[in-house]
Amino acid sequence: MLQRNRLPVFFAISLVFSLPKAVHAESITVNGPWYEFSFAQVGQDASGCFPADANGIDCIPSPSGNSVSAGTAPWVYTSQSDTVLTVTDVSLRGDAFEVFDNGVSIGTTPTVATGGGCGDDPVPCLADPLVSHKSFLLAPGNSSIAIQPTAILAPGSAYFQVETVPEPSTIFLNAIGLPAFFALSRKQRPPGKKRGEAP
Amino acid sequence: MYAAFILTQRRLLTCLQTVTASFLLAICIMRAASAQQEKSQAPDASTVGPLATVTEDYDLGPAVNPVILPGCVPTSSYDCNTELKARIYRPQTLTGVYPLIIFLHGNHATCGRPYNPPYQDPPGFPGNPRIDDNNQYTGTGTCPVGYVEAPSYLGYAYLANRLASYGYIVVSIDANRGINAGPGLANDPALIFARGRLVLTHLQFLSECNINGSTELAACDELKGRLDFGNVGLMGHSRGGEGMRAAYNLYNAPGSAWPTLIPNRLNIKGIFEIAPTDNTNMVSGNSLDANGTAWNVLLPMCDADVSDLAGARPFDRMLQDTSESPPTQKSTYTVWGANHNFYNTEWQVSDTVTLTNPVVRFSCIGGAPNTDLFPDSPGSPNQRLTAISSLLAFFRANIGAGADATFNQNFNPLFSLPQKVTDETGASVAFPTLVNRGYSPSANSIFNLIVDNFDKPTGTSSYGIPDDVSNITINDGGVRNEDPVLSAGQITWNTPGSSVFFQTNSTDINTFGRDLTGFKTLDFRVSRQYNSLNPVGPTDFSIQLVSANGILTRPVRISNYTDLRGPVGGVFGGRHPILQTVSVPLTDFGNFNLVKNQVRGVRLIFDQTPQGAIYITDVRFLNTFGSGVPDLTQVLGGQAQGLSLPNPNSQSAQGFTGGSSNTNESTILVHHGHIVSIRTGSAMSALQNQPGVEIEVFSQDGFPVRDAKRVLQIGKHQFFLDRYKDDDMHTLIFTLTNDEFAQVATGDPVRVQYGTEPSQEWWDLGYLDKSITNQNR
Repeated sequence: MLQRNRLPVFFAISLVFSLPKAVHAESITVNGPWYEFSFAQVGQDASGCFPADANGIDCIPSPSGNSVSAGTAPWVYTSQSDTVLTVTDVSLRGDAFEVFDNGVSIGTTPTVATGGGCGDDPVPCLADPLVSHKSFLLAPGNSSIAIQPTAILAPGSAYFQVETVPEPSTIFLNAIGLPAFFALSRKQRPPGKKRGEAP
Repeated sequence: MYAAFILTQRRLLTCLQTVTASFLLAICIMRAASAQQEKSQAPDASTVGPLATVTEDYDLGPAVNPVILPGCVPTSSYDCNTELKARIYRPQTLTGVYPLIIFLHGNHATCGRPYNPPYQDPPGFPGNPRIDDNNQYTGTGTCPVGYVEAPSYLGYAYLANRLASYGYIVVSIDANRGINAGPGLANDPALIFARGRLVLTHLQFLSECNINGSTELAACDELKGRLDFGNVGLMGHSRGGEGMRAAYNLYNAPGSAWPTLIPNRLNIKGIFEIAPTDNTNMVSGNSLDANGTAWNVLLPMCDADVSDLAGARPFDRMLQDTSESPPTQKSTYTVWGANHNFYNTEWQVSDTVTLTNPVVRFSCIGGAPNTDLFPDSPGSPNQRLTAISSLLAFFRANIGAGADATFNQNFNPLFSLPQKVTDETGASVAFPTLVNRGYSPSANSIFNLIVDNFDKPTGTSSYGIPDDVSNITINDGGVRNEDPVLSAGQITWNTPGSSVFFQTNSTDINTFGRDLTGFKTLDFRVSRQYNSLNPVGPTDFSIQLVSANGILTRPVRISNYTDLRGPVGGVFGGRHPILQTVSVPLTDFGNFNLVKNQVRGVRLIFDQTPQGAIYITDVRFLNTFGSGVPDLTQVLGGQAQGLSLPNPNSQSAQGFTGGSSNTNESTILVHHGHIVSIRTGSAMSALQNQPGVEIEVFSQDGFPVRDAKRVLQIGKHQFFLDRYKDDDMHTLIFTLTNDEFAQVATGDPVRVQYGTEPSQEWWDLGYLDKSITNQNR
């Protein structure tokens, strides 16, 4: 029979075990480094990299030191201006991704052929036209990013980075090669399917 | 209200019970997971068998046998006779056919006398040892007055009787006559092939007994129809070990006459060697291996005779044979604290001491547990225990229709050694020391996916793929005591961390990795360099498998798989960085399933021990757990089989601290002597009557009979063909061809030593003076 004087202890233990599981989200830095994330299966949310994400996979960091391991997804940030989210595969070609913001799909990186690769550094991989990568424009406000692989050669790692869109005056002053991008930045966030909906 | 409180309390209690049960379950799962990091224990093969045993002898008498000693030329003290003489250990009652094991002892003086302190011998040697210091029996079959034959062949009764109790017929050969301490042949200076031919001649005799019996020799007649020549094992100690390799190779050589001479078809299924020599490349440049048969070598870490642990070399060479047929297990078993002599109970003075006054001792070095298992005399039960345990396991696993391959787990580093083994009295006792094991189920490519043998230029794997290194240094090169064919990565690091690593790659970056589906383990060989970077305690580091697609497995730590200490050794032979095999089940790597189809490389991360210096080589993936290990359950599931799960670091827990320095390490022992004469001749007996030069040398300290080959070093040149002038071992005669003599010059320093490697003991004989040639002195 449970003795009454032990109840507080049991209450405390019960409280610990009955607490809802904390929902972790990793704040990321806009205009910061590349964030490396890991993925294992098509249709399954990508994770961060171990140990930043306890449930993530161990990732090979970029050899040029321009990256950090992403923590637990989703990856959140707040921006007062438009931002561009760039996602790129690395290592072996053939992986592609769908990107979600606040649970809404904002697009996919292109499906590419397998064969060859671009190394472990996101910068040269971004320049490789045979590697799946894409930039997504996001409106100001709170963003919560999740990524799912749509095609994988093998479980692996990839990168994303968030940068603010330069002010129009800056673009004008710089005035080179980005009119289309400028026009795009005036548009609203594109509607997308909810996560879990069929494409 | 109170009822509501009670209800709430009950709900809480129910909740609490659920929570508690979940908590306990979680603990159980965690403990189970932890237990999976521990090794199962190999079964003890050394228990006394069920059969009563008897011994019988046969001795066919001396005879000149040109098959055994071809071209032997008699002298006044050496008649070229050999003899077929042996002791048989067998089950008392013979009711069927029995596997056959042949034993062959090593090189040792053939006549001995009682210990006689303080006049002839230094005092203080316990156990009244027989002093074997005369070789008269070799050449004449007699010993001087006061001496008896030193019966080296009886010194393994403790092993033979135990084998016989399990239904083996063991024949221990006496090689004293004509061979032991005998003069070398020109093309066989250490008489290794002569030993091999002696063994095959015994097998020929035994086969004839098996087929025909004998009306004249009961020991032979009782073997009629009893010997299973399809299940033959060989055991050799010292030169006997290499002699057994010679027998195996002579029998299996293309065009060999032995399959015709031996009526029964011989199938040698295993060779077990104790502290063997590796001399045969002295003359021919070709070494003897044991490809195609199970093989194990027991290496005494403090061996002061074969002090370079030359028996490690065949293992290195056989790991190069990627087409071995049939694929068979190879292993090394290096026993800390053991000497050379005391595996034979008839060799009663330790090889680590001199019978000089004062006595010079070459004890073990490197710190516990590499402490002497042996006294100065007359033997070491603890040391013999390591042979009982390993030899019984080897033959019971590999030889005989009823062989039980699970005993091979004793050689497989996936398993720990038995904590308890059975001594000569039948008592169960604790395993006495630490053993480093090297292991391969076979180098055949059907089992192995090689990653890196370090056989390409530094910085590249065996595929020529660049390594990835960070904050370490690496140079590829040889390892002391290992065969020259072996190359290893010599890695050092000075600070620990996740960014301090060495990664060897089997595929190039940006290409598909290897598919390891069906593979079982990652194996590599590792030892510590003798380097002040290493701590006194064990070295630890992490290992990860690297995917071609940018990820890695979770790491494992080497401390879960071996106790990486040393190097230790003996004062005489120095420190021995003998490589041991680490075998990691691939499923021990967390997330292995995520990378197994695209494995690019293996990464060693030096994130544990702050500094270190190691050798690493033979990095490979294996698709088998090895002989006697049918599945992973057996590797990890010891409890399910009623086996205990020892703490893999139990030896650490006992306070082992190998790796410390020892002030006696620099001991050098120099004997003195001189060149007596240099004589030319047109028909030298040692050269099959070819012309040559004899150099006679003398030392008051004598030149003892050892298993390591005596070597005459003149300047940079070494010569091996020698004989004792008489039986008291103070005078040696080396024979050189005229061409060899022409290579050396007046003024060259002259010395005698044992073994070809630089030694810490030698006989200084002054300088060569060719002007004394053919002068009477």
